Amino acid sequence: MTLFDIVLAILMLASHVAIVGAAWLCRKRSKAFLFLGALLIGWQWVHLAGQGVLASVVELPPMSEHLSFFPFSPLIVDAGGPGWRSVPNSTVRSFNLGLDLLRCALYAAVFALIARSLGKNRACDPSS
Amino acid sequence: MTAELIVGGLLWVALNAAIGIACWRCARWATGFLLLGATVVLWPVFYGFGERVLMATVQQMATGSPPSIFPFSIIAAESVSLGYLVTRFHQVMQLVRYVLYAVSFLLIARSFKGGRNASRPELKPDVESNLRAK
Repeated sequence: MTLFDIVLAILMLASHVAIVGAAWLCRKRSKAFLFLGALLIGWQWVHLAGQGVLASVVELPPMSEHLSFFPFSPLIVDAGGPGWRSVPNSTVRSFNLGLDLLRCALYAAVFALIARSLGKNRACDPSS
Repeated sequence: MTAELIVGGLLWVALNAAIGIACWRCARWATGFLLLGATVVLWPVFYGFGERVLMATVQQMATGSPPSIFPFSIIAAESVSLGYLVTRFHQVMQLVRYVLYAVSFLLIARSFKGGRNASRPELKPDVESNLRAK
């Protein structure tokens, strides 16, 4: 482990703590801020898990039952070899696009929730 | 497959537009939403572009013509490996993204903690001073 790794890890941890702290401070305005914080931090793990699943089914050995069940089974096609199966590039591209669409949909929903609750809070505020 | 990609691309644009509009609306209460929205929408595009440039350079190096510009020149000089450079690229991009998230979220939290006027940005300074005079 180099000095660069340590500095990188400290900065990463600090940014995560800052996100959690800011989400906690904003929670009185809207509970959706907690979802936003969780999404900002948690999405990278979802993305990593998705990429891990994809990497594990890109090439499967003969007679392997590993991840050959639904919903992963549609990803796998015959590779042409004796019993070997693999995932074509177009499927990988579609999978990545689907993952990105899911990310965008979640962000759009959370931001819409925040806008809605901030608008509602302002309407209820007698001072405004 | 092409139709699927076109529909997916259109959906992607629509969802990003929805994120942009929601952030624009939220920016009335805290300007940090503009930075957060820009990071959420534009950073993946910028990251994808950087990744493509990196991969194109890697392909170019594989064919035996290493570029002489930094940081690829240090691979040619055999100071670091290609894997090291690619890993560092991803780590640094990830870090910049999280720092941007943290800064924008802290800006939002600060605007909300900033008092009553932070939640009422529609009040013009002259209107505010008139109210105070009354």
